[in-house]
Amino acid sequence: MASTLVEIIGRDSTGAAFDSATGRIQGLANSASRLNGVLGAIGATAVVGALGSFVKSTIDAQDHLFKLSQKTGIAVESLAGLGFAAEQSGVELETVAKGVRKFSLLVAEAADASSGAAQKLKQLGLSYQQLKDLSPEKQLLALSDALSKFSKEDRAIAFISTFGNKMADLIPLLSQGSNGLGRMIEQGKKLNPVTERSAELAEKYNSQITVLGKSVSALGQSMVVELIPSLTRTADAMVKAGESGGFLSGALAGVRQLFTEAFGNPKILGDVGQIRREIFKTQDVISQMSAKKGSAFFDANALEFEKVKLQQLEGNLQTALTASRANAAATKDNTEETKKFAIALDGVNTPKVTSGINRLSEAQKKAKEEQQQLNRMMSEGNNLSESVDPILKRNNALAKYVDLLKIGALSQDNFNKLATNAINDAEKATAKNTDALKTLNTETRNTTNEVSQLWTQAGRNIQSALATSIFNFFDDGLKGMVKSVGIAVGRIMSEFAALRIAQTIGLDRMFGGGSGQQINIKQKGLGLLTGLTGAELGVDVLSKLGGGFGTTSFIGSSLARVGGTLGMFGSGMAGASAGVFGGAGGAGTAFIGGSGTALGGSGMGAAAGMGASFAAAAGPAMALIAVDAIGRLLAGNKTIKGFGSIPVVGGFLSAMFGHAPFKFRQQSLQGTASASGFSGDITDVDRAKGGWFVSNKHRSTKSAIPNDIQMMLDSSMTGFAKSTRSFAETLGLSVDVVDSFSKQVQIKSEKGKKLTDEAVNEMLRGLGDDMATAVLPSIDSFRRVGETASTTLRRLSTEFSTLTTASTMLGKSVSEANDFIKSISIESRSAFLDAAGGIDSFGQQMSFFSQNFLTDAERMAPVQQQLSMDMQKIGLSSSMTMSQFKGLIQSFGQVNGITQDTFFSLLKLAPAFVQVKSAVEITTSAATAAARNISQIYAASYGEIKRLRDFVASMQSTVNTMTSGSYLTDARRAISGQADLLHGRAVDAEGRKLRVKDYNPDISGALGMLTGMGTGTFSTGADFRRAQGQNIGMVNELISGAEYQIEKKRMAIRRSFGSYAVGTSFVPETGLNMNHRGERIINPDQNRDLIFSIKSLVSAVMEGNVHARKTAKILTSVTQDGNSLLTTAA
Amino acid sequence: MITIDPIDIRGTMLTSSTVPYPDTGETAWSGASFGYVEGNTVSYLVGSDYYRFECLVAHTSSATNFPVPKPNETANWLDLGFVNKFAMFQLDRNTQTIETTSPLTVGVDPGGRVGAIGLGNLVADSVQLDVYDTFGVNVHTETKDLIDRYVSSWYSYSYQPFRQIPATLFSDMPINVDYTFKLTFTKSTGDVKVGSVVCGMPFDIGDAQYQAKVQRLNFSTFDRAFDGETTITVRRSAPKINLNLFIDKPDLNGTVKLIDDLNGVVTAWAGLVSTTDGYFESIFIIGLFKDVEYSLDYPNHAQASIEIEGL
Repeated sequence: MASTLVEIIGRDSTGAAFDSATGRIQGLANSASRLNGVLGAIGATAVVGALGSFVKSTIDAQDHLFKLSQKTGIAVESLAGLGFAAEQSGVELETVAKGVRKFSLLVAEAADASSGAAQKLKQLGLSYQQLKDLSPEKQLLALSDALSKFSKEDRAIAFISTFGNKMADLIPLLSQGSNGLGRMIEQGKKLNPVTERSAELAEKYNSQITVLGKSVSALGQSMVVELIPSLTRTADAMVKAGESGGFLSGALAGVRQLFTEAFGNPKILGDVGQIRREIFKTQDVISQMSAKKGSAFFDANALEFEKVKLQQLEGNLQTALTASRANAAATKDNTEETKKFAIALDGVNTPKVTSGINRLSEAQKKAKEEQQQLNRMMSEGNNLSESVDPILKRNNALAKYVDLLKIGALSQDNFNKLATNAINDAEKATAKNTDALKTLNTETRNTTNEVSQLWTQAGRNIQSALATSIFNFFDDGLKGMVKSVGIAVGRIMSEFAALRIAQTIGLDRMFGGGSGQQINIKQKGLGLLTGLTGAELGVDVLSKLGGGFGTTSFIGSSLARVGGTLGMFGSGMAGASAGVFGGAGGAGTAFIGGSGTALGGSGMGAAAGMGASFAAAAGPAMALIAVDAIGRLLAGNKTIKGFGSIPVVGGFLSAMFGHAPFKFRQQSLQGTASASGFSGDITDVDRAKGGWFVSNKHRSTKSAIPNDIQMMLDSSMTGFAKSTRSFAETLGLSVDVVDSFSKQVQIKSEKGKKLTDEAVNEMLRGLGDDMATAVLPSIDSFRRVGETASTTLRRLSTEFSTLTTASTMLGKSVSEANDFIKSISIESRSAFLDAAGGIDSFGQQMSFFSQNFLTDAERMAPVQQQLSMDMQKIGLSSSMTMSQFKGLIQSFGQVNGITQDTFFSLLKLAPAFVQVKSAVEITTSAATAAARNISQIYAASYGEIKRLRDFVASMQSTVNTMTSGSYLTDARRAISGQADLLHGRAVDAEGRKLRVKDYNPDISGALGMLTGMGTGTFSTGADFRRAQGQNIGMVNELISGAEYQIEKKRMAIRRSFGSYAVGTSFVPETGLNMNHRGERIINPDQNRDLIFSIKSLVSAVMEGNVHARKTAKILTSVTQDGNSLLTTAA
Repeated sequence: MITIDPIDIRGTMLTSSTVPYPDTGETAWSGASFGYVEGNTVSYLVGSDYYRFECLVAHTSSATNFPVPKPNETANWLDLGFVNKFAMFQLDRNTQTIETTSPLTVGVDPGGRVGAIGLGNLVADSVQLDVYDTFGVNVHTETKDLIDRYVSSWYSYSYQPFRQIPATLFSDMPINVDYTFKLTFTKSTGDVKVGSVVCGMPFDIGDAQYQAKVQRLNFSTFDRAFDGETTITVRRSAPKINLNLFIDKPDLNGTVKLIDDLNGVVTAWAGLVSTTDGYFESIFIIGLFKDVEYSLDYPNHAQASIEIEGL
């Protein structure tokens, strides 16, 4: 029996520490559970409800008013009133604000009395002097007064002529005069109780927290006037803490401040927690002291002191809980007051107010339910508090039974029964608490599931809490470990509560993560710790704590998820941790021993065994070293400022919250591409890889594009523009789109690599295609396989050129060819060329045709036409000489010289010009050479005839189209003069007859005037016809004169030309003649000598002096020994 | 409102005239290589009508180079319209028969019934209509004054100039298929000129309503040069009227048919038949209708609008 007794006592003494620890855990869990309940309830109480319902929209509305006030100079209060007035008039406040700004500007401009603004004011019946010293609001009232004096129609005209059509919506608002408008503004002020300060705070709040909403609730206005300062302080606290301590500190500070602001009396919860901690501590002390009872170290006074202290603390706890209830009641009262306010507004009965009241009623209802839940949770908290320490009771009972047994007041059997009952009761209470913890876990999990936007931050905060607990892990032995874990649980629960509140009022946006960040975290978890998301981590933590496992086990369990060697090592750690506990707790308790038997059991393979063996053998110290090493291993190159060097947990902290050094991540090129080049920069992005629970950091560095790349980009863009413009011109498309082309582009390198030439080239190709598409939006429909837009445009241009060239070869002029080809669809052009075997084949065929069948002139004609058209485009004539062309080019840069554009154009046209001029020169030379081979007389006569014939032909055509007019006397006189000349009737001033060679056929100007004669100056059609008759008669006279000359020339030719048969006696003019075989050419001297000789011979014969010698002498004198004619010249 | 279904007076239908043919400048055209110079005028028989032509371009005539009237005139000749004697009966031209010695008298045997005669483009003091039966007995005489002076005071009586009434209408003539008529135009001084004589049966095409629109299509131009100097080209103006008519339902179809028959035909249109009515001259026009539109607005009356342009 004794042994049994000893055994019982021994179990009790060895398990005291764990009992105490377990009790604290349960107490903390209860507290945490209650806290969760309280905060959960708070998250839906009137405070949060009111915030959720009204705060966001109201803040936004007041922020908007503040900004408008800054823009317009109108007081916020007045703007609120004006907003009401505007709403009543069916116009938006923003429009009113614009109108106010415009009018203020108009007034300012009207300071110049001669300005249009002054005139406009005058038209409205206002003046600068009258308005200059008024506030914008009063200016608006003055404008309203002025407008109210107009009739309805005139008012609209006067207003629109001053402010434009866009402001016409303001007319109804401003038509009621200053009295009417002022009344509405005042009424609006009452209904929208906004102050300058509240609006400013709202603006400040929104500037830090991006919460935008548009609806404005009159109900929310009054509530948020009080709330905004608190929210602003919260945001300020977060920003300030974030600046000094990093993001995590900022978030925590924000939550703390939020608690402070939301609950009004921050000490309540803090006191409850503090008192609870003191109670635990005191109970622990009492337990320790009680355990020493009967020994030499027992101090009854001290024990009594601690018990009294415990009673006081329990009293304080009740006071704190009462205060907390009072706070809840105050909240309820607040909502009641709000409701009353809403009811007071009911008289206005606007839809918004009604809507606000409805929302308020719902909030009230919900608040009531949640208040009930709060009360229930607090009651449960009290109950839990009362049964918070069943082990302690058990120990006290056992101690009491031992005392009774010692003094013989209790038999051993009874003692055993009582002890067994006490132990069973304690176990039941423990089981109950365990269930409560399970419930807590479930609630936590549910809460976690509800957390969306803030989970990232919550995860970080939870880790922070864990880190703190790890940091304090061995500060105070096993008890300290449990205590720190308990504090962590409390903080975690605070995070959950804060999340709900923050979500409600929109603080979550400060974290900037949103769903995207949540996804990141999960992805990170998949990559690093499979399945170890923030949510699961939190649940795991609570689960492990609830199950009584230590932090080492948790870490080991977490590492087990990593997989591979490290995972197996971690599994071993989990077992090792249990082993540590087993060593500490002995084999007596199944609670510990059960886990202790798992030493290395879950670890698989050598690594697991090694981890377990290492941890078990080296004991806690070695385990710390191992944990530290693992942490460093996990952290890698990640560090966290101020924490990385902390032993044991520093590595884990770095792994979870640290950042690796910045490394180059990506390069981008961005800018604007245009026809004139590329303007932009290059951005290098460096990335610092974040830990498990922090995002990566990025750092961007902008730099100018290197010169060689810049030049390449510029030249590429200008080249694109030039060629695209050329193609567009060829195809007859607008080139304006090329000149105005502009596009924002950005290309990014692959991760970890710089931009490559291929990427830049690809971008440029895309820009070229964009430019081509801009010129011909439907270009995609013409694209062929493998073609880009730009190559398609080039092909279409080439097709067009080929076809127009071919058309010119077929006899069309360049312009006709252009028009003709343009009239053919693009598809048909391509199809035609395809049918011809392709562009190249068709070009070769046409080239062959041109070279072998066309004359030089025919080939040159299109070139000449094109040159003329091109020269015409730059305002020049192609008929200039080479030297003129040269002089024109050389005039560039000189005074009155050609412009740069013309200079470039001329240089561009120079080859064609030379080609044409060369052809002309060749033709001219050929003509000249030919002319030398033609008889001068033929040239003189037949050339003249041809000229005259052409002239007659032109006259005939002129007659056909001619009209006339009496005002064209000069023209007629010119024509008449030429007609007289041709008829041989013309004389000069001295009466000498003019010769035909004085004839000037260039009377096209005069004829043009006759041709252009209109009917404008004739009174009757008959007069017009008469004038026409005169013109026609005039031209007929000219024609007959020309025909006269033709006939005259013909006669001359007939006279001058003999025939081979009869010869000719006289060649009137020098020129070439056609010679026949055996003929001889003699010049005039020879001819004269010959005639003279013949005459002498005839004379001698006639004289009868027939003397052979004399005759021979005569003949000898004119011949070369009788073989040929001897001439003087010869 | 009445209109006249006109009878073309041609050739021998003009039984007598104080205007001779050929008149001055109406030498018959010669096709035998005659050299015509600018300004020569000739007469030339085209169909049954004698036309007058003016040489525009000096040329030598030939059998193939002869004058051709409008609308196919050649370059050499200008169509001046019917010869002077018949000019008043060429309704599609606004040419006048001019007699230098008053009176100008024409006798006409229309060969059909004539119930009305419209006269336009007149320069005369008065016109007298005499209608004769087959025996030459005058059965109707009527005279219309063609000068007028509105006198409202002694001043206007003394100084108001006389006004030429350019058009008039005989509408109450005895109708007989064999009757002939004579018109005598007198003028105290100066030439007597008669532009248009439209004779035929009158038909009532409805009652002209008030609010008739009277227009003058003015073809004169008034141009300003860049420096503001004006160039005025005086040309004639042509009258134009728009009338609303009430047509009795029974008459509607016949009226529409008649108007259709007069498509492109120059004739006389009189909104009023009383030549002394102040509105007569405004709504009496010798010309052709351009547009007609009618609507069956009432159970027994149709409403029509007609636009008529004078020559």
